Amino acid sequence: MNKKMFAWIVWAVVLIGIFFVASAISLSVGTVNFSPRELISVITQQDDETLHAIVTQMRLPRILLGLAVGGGLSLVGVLLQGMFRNPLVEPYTLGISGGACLGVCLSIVLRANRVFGFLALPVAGFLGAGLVIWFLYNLSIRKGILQIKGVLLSGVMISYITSSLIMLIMAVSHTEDLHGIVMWTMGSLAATNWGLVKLVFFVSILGLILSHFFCISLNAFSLGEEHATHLGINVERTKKLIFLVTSLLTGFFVAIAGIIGFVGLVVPHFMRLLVGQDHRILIISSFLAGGAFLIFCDMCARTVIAPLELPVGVITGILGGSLFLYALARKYKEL
Amino acid sequence: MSNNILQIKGLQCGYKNFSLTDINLNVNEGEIIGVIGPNGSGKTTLLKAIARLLKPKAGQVLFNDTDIWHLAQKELARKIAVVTQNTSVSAISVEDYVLLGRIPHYKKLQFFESCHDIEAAHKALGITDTYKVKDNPISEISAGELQLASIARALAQEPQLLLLDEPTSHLDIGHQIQVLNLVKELHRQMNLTVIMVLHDLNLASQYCQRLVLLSGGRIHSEGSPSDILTPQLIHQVYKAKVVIEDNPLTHKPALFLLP
Repeated sequence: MNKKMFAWIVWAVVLIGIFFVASAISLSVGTVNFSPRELISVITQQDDETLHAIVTQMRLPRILLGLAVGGGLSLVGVLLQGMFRNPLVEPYTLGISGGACLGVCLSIVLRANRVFGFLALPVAGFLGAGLVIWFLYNLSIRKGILQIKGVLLSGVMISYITSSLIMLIMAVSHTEDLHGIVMWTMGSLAATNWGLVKLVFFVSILGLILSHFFCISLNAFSLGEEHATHLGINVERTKKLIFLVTSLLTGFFVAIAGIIGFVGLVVPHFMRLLVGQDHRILIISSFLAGGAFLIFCDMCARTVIAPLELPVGVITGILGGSLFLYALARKYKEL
Repeated sequence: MSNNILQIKGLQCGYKNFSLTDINLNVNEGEIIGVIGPNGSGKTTLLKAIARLLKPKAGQVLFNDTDIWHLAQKELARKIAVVTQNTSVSAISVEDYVLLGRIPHYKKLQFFESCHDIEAAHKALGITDTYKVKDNPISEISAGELQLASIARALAQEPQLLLLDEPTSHLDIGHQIQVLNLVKELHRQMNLTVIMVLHDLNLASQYCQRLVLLSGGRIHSEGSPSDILTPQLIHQVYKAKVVIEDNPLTHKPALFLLP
């Protein structure tokens, strides 16, 4: 068997295993704790309806959302870092999260939930993200060529503008709105609705499948755009497709789960150190590792100061940031 | 049908401030052509036009009688391979680097390289004498080995035409000779057609069957090394004084610079 195929299978199996372990722990831990055997009996036998509901109605959606959002953000990170050939790019660099955040702020301040119910925040978030994507795309396209540096710079600038606008809104809004905005910005996997969870899960898996079509092109991109052209890659089409896929995915995730930082930056880096630069292996392993990582962080967020729940962004930031620094320090020691 | 593998007809192509003008060139199959000329004379631009990185403003580039802009990108990459000076170096192994050259041969929805792809890559590593470093990270091999590995990657594409942009710059004389002997050997074994940009006129004289001298975006003259490398022409184009003697062993012109 081919070496790469073997590596792909090994990493997929190992990381699926890790994902299942993280999920099992996360299902067992909380205000009510289960041993592994109890967990199985609660899920399969449904003797105690309350316990069954805790596991399947409260904890399971969080796990699915964790896999979808954590995996999806890592996926977007890999695609963007590969396309920009810049290790500092992450899903939120392009200002898409800023747009989503602005949409959500407006929705909270304008009390859109009175009309649209639980859909008010996700829809407003996605509209905000979509607006930024449209703006960014048109700003950066010149004579049919997507200017990679232009996208990056414009994205960072849009981030600044949106965050200033958000500050403006916060400065003039009521206290209860302020709390809502702040809580949303910090990100959470607390699922509001099963239908939304299923939708996000589906979109994320779709993103995973689609991104496999970009693996070979991204490997060629590692030599530079010119060389990728020499290798027969349609560079412009690939760039545009990756831009659209990643930005739509980001907008979607931010709209549902708020801004969960560090996952999309740190997980791809970590996986690069572990599995190497080949995008064929990097994409699947980053997706699974990102999912497992976010599920684990979410569990910590629920339990460290229980019964209070921390925003998951706090945990991903602290855990992800320190892990990243550790990995960097090790990398430089090797040099 | 002609036996011209490449025909350039009335090509005009370039950038805002610089343009190749009225380039006409026929390249026979199995020829080694050296493109020479001063800095900024359009050597690299010409290679880019042949490799379809720059769209012509006028004229056309025909590969086996087909306009290269009518071919699919992938199809072109199976016919023409390019080695440039600025290979960005990432942390992949030399073998993986050479395997990237197989990308144009991937079938639709092919995700992993086939046995044939690996064979072709290993063959390219073998010919270029880089098989021994195949497991080293590409960022840790020497400039000479990197140049050989880049040629191996191009060979893995199994092209009919190889474009080399200054293949010997940054190399010591040992590696310069190694790289150019390799080119000669490829030409002999596989009847590969090679167009290379060279700065070193002595190397160009030794290794190329035909030289194309560019000046200010136009072809100043073309012909065998002994036709082109004359003190008058060199002075006219490069504004440099040289003495040209006959190399006693190869009977090719040899240049000596006069300070």
